Amino acid sequence: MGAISIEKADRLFWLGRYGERVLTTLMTYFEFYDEMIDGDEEAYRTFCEKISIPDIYGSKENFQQRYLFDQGDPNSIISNMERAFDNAVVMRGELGTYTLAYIQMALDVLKGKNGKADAPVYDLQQVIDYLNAFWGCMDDQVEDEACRNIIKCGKYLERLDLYMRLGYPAGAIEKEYSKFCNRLHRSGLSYRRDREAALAGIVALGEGWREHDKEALQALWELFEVI
Amino acid sequence: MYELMDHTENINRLLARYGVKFGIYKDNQFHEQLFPFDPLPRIIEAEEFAFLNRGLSQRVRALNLFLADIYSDKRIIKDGVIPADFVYSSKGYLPQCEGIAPPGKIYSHVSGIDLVQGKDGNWYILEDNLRIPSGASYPMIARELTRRAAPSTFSRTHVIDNRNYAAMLKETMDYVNTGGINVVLTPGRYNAAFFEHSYLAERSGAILSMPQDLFVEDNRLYYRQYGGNRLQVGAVYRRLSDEYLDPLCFLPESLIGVPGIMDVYRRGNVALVNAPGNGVADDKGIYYFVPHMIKYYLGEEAILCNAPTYLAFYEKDRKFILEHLNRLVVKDVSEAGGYGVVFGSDLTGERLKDLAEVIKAEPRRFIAQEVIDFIDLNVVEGAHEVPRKADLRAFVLAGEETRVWPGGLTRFSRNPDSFVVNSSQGGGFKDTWVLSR
Repeated sequence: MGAISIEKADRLFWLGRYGERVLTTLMTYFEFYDEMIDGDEEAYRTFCEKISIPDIYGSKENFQQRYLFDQGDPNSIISNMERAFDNAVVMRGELGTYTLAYIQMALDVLKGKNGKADAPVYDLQQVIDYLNAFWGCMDDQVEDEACRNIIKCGKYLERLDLYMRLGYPAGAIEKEYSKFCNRLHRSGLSYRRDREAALAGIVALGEGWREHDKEALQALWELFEVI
Repeated sequence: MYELMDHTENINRLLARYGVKFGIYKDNQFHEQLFPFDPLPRIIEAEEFAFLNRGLSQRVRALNLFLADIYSDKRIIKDGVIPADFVYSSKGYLPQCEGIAPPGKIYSHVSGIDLVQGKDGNWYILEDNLRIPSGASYPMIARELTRRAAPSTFSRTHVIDNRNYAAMLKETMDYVNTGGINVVLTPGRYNAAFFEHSYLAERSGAILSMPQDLFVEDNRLYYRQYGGNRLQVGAVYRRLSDEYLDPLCFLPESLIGVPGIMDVYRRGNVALVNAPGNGVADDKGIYYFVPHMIKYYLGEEAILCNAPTYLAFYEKDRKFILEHLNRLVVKDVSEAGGYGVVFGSDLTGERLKDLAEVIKAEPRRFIAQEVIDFIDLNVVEGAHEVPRKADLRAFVLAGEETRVWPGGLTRFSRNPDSFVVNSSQGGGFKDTWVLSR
C-alpha cells in the first residue's frame, strides 16, 4: 500500500465515481438524444426520472444544452466533470501528469463549447474518448495497486448504481457487480459486510433483481461506513 | 532555436493539456490562468553562468549565515553592521524561531534570487526570495515539451539539461531529512502555485500532503494513511506561509496549518524547507545590507551587485529619495509579486506629493531604487519578434553544498511599456538555456 491518506482515498474514490458518472450518463444522453431527434420529444423526462435528477428543463431543446453545459445545474455533465477534475487535480503525484492530462482535456472540451453544441453527439465524442484514455492510462501508468483499486471501486460502484437505475439486464448487473467486488475486497476500504451480503443476494436473483431495485440501491448507498 | 517559433501554439497547447497554470484571486474569486510561454529562450553562455554561479552561491551562503546569526548570537547587530531596529521591525522576523538550530543548520534550502541584466552588461540582484519562491516547475516542463518540438535544436546546441531540478530538490531534502518520508505540504488546490506543488511532488518522489494529512504525536510528525497506519515525516517542503504553518505557534485562526509542527521542528525531529523566519533576510529593506553581510560573514566582496538602493529609514537617503522621487522606483517592503511597486516617472505632481508624504510618515516601509535599464529579450508575437523587458529568477539549492540550478525562470512583461514581469501582473515566461561550452 502506498502513502495514501484518508483525504486522498476519498479523492480517488470520488474521482472514480464522477469520472464514471460523466462517461455513462453522457453515453446514455446520446441514446436519448437520438430518440428525441424524430421520436419521443419528451424522452428526456424519462431520462431524468431514471437517473433520479429533477426535471428542471421544461423542453427538449433546453435539456439538450443545459444538461450538458449548465454549470449552475449540479446534475449537468459539466458540473460532474468539474467534480471529477477537482478530485483528480490534487492527485497528480499518484496519477502522474500524463494520466491527469486526460481529465483536464475532457473538461477543456466541455468548457470550450461555451455552453452550446450544435451536434452534441458528434461534438462530445471527444469527452468520451478522453475519459476512456484516462482509464486506460490509469491502468497502465499508476503503479500503486491500492490507488488503482480505490479509483476503480468508485468507478464500478457508480456504474452499478447507474446501471440499476437505468434498468440494465441482469447479465450486465452481474458483470459489474463482480468487477466492483473484486476491487472492493482489495481496496482496503472499510465497508459494511451486511450490506454487501444483501446486495449479493439481490444480484443472485438474476432478472428478479428488478423487484428489489430500491433495496439494492439502498444497500449500495449504505455500503461504506467511512466514505 | 528559431524552429521553436513554429511550435509556439503547439507547445502552449501541451502546457494547457498538462495543467500548467497559476491561480490568482481577483474580486475575491479564484481564477486559474495559463502561464503564457514564449519559445525563444534566454541564453546564458557557460562562462557567464560560471560567474553567476559564484555570485549566487556566495549570496545564499551569506544569507544562510545571517539567518543562523539573527536567530542566535546576533553578532552582526552587536558589531553594528545592521541596525537592530531594522531587523526587529521586519515583518519577516519571527521571535518564535529564536534559538532554533535547523537540521544541517540550513535555513534557506531553496532560494529564488531575482536578477536582471543591465544594458551595461552587468547583472543586478533585484530581490531575494527565501520563503517559498515559486517558478522552477515551469521551465522544467517547458523544456520537456520544447525538446519534443525541436529535437534537432537540442542535438546541435550544447544546452545543459535542466530537468534535474527535481533530483536536486530531493537531494536537498534528503540531506536535512531527520528520518522518514519527504513531503510537499500544500495549502490546497486553490493556492496560486498549486500546479508547482503537485508537479514537484510528483517529480521528486515526495508525497504531496494537505495539512490534514499530517499530525503530531510524541514530538514526531506523521503522515496519516487511510488504512490506519502512519509514516514518520523527516522533511517537509512546505509551500504555505510562516504565519499559517502552526496555529499553536503563529496565527491561532489558521485552518491550514499543522498544530504542533513547530515543536517537532524546534526539537530537531523534522526539517522544514525553507525554515520559518526566513522573511527577515529577504525583506526588501534588509536587501540593502546583503553586500555588507557577504563581507562580514565571508570576508569577500560581493560578486553580484545590488541595484543602487536607498533606505528611507536613513535620513540622508530619505532626503535623496524625496528629492529624486520622479526618477526612482519605490517599493513597499511588505509587498511581493510585483505589488507595491511605484515608478516615480509614472506619477503626476499631486500623486508624487502624496507618495512623499507616505514615505515621510512610514520610512521603514519603503526603499527606493534607481531604475535599472535592463535589456530586452525578444518574444514572439504573431509572426514577429518584439522586444520585452525580462528578468531571471535563479534557483539556488543549499544542502550538502550550495548549488545553482543550471536554468531558471525567465519572466517577461507582455506590455511593451512595462518593467513589471510578474505572472500575477500578466507576464509570461521563457526557458533559460545555460550552455555547457
